[in-house]
Amino acid sequence: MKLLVVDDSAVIRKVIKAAADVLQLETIEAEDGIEALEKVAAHHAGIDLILLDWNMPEMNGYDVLVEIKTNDKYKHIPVMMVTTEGQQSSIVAAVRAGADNYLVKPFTVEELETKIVECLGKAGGF
Amino acid sequence: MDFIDSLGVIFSDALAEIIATATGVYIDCIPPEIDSGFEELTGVMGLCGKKGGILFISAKKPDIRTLCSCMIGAPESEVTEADIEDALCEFVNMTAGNAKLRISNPDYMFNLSSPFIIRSKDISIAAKNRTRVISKLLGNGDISVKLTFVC
Repeated sequence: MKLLVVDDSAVIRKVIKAAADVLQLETIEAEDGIEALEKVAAHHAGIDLILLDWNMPEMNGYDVLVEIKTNDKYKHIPVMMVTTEGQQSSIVAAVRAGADNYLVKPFTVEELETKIVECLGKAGGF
Repeated sequence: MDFIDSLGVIFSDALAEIIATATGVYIDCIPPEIDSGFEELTGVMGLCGKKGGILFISAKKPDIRTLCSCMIGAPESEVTEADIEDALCEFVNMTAGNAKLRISNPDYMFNLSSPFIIRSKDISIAAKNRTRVISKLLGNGDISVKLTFVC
């Protein structure tokens, strides 16, 4: 199974990749919203879950989420927001836009692994 | 203690919590006289709102390397210079995000700018007129991190 990890922080991408390795999941990475949409277009058939940061240069994660969830080709892909934006209003906005799960930074590795398994489980992967 | 002082407490509590969660390393406020100075890197973020401010988090490179190593679960020898700066930016980002959740006064609600790094030893911040500078030193005997909030 394959995760698309979208975050402008290389360290956060490493943290997520380490968790994915433990769960024996493949990862592909993007460091901003534009690159994320390019990766989705190129690999959408093989992506099982997108982990999406909110505050990023070029195009923010919320706009990426809206693009994905309003596109018939991509909207089936589960998206988990992984962000410092922890206010209720942000969570509600993301869920309304179609986010399937939400994880506020910082997180422990255990929390991250649990959320990934939960998302993939709902999608029928685990 | 006025509200600005309490913001200093909010930001230092936020920093201690995010470091503990992200790295498993526990730090707490320590007396400022313990500060040995010579922090080498400072992560900076502008907080934009009705009443804005600037958040600075400074530390020595080896201390950030240790925290970064704990965060990514890799030996310190595998932590690159780029990782160190990226991790410090992420600590600033997470501290501001966590503090935002703790602030109940709507006048002090803010949006986060993109964090950036100042590469310079022991920077000092001076404010004029009615600008306030609040500094807190956090540590645990092995590592120390200085937080400065200007508003």
